Amino acid sequence: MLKAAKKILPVAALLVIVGIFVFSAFNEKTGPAKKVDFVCGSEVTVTVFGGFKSEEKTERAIEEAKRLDSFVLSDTIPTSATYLLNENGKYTDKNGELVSYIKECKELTDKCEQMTLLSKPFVIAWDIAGEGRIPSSEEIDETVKKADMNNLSVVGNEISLSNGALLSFGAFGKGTVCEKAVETLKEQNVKSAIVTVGGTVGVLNTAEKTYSVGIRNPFGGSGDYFATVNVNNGYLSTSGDYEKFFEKDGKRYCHIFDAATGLPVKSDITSVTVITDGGTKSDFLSTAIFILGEGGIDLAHDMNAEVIIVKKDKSVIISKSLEDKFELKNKDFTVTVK
Amino acid sequence: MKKLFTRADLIIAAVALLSGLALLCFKPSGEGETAIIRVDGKEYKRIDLQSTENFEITVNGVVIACENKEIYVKSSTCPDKICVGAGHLTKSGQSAVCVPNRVSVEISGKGEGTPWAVTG
Amino acid sequence: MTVTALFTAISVVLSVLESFLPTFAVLPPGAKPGLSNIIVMFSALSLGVPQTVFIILTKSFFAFLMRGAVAGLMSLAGGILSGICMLFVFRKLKIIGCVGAGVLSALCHNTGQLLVSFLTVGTWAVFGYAPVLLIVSVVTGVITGTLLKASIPYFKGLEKHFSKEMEK
Repeated sequence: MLKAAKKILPVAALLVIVGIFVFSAFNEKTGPAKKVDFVCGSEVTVTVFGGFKSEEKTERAIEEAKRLDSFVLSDTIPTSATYLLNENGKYTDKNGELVSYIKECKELTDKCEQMTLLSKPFVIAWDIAGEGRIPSSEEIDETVKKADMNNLSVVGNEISLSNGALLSFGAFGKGTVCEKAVETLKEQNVKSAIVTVGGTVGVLNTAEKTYSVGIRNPFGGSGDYFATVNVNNGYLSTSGDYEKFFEKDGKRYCHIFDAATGLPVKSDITSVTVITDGGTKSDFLSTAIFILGEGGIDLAHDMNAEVIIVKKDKSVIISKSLEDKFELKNKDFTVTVK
Repeated sequence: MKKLFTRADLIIAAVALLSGLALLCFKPSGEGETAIIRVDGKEYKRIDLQSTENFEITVNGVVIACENKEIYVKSSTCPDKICVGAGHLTKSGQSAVCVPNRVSVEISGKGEGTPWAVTG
Repeated sequence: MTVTALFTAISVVLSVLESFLPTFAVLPPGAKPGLSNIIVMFSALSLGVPQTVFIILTKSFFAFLMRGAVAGLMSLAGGILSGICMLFVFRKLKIIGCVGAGVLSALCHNTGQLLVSFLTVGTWAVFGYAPVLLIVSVVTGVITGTLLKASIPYFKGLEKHFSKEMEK
């Protein structure tokens, strides 16, 4: 009996040790880990596919998104650098995060003079966040002057605003937050993930695999999509006049403003989706093309981006390079390639 | 006369134990999107957990309730109550089965062909 | 005959007792220690094929009476599978000890039950319980195997005693 025990014990011990290793290795969540939260006033969804400790990683990505929003980008949260800048007219950016971000955005707005980083005066004058009102033409002229990009100056770490200008990252912020969340996942060695911040979707993938992303049907409810695009890696942003608007005397006024005229954009386009390699870039371009109209497609192609434009008559224009990845799901729409 | 314990026994027990643990860990654990209630193996009801209201229904003596996007078997007429013991179901791949009443509730991930995210 | 009847009675009593203790705190829902399996194992070891078959059939008949058709069917399927396995183990595979036999018996029993569950409910979801049952089988198998080893002398005694009674 003792002899038998002596023979069995080492084998048993070995099996237990191997068992513990196998157990702890597989005890990680292997399915997709998904987390939903609210940042920038819109829903944020982080989904991580496979890998170890994926739940923790999604949480860290959301934490980073919240930090970026509440300490740098938000113009409504009193702790953020942007809010403080608007309050005081100047701001000393110690860690340089806002300064470098403003520079990045300025490079983009320089490509489209109808875009501005100082769009907040428009939002206030037209009361887009509230009931909506139509300002007088004098008032509109004043907002155009306030929104002039020359009112924003950056010297070293000192940022200052003049002539009543107010900084707002409405057209870029969600894209940037999305990009930052994806970067946080990348740093944690995540191989594939999908991050949604408002209208921007970031797809991270190291393999050949593609994920299908739906394009919102502008004439349907939220979550209703008219087509899908298969994306391997990159960011998709959509700007549309159906998101935020108000109606007065049968006319619709949307939340996207032309910085040159100070008026809400009126066009035959109802939504623009841009697919490219950066979140800030895709969010910027979707807004810019919405303002510029069909002609903006060239700007997107110059910047290595792909475009889907939906017009009010349900005709759709897509970039030629999208042809193989684009799948129409709703037969009411007609597609042309450009 | 049979021995109490041999090396073959050890191998049998270890293989069963390890494969059980491995299978347990490999179970899909993604967020559940839809719950499917089956009766006699046929789909009886499909519930979108993301958008559903709280409810309670009774099928074949099995009371299925949904609270805060979590579905569970509240009570059952069966003797063993295994289905009730399965607890709240949240992750895809989880299920509660009542064999005597031939009712099952299972959670699945997103439906085939629907996109992973929607932009806009 | 008396011997078989006696052991059948013991196994039925054990399974009835077990169903009176539905919540074994340490075991997950649906898992039972399977004490009556000890008798099936002893029968396969010592009594013989017809006796073993008789015990299994009676046991599932009682499950049918007490807990319904589905439970009876599950008991039958599990019993047949584990019975075949036990007869094979105790007659052919001498290298397997009592604990191994207990584990194998529990595994077979659960497999049979899962198959019946699958056929009645008709969904793959039932196999979601498989990993838990695998682990539980090992635990209960070790318990029943050890109990079997401990009780073999007593069962043998009973067997001899009643066989002699018959001869008298």
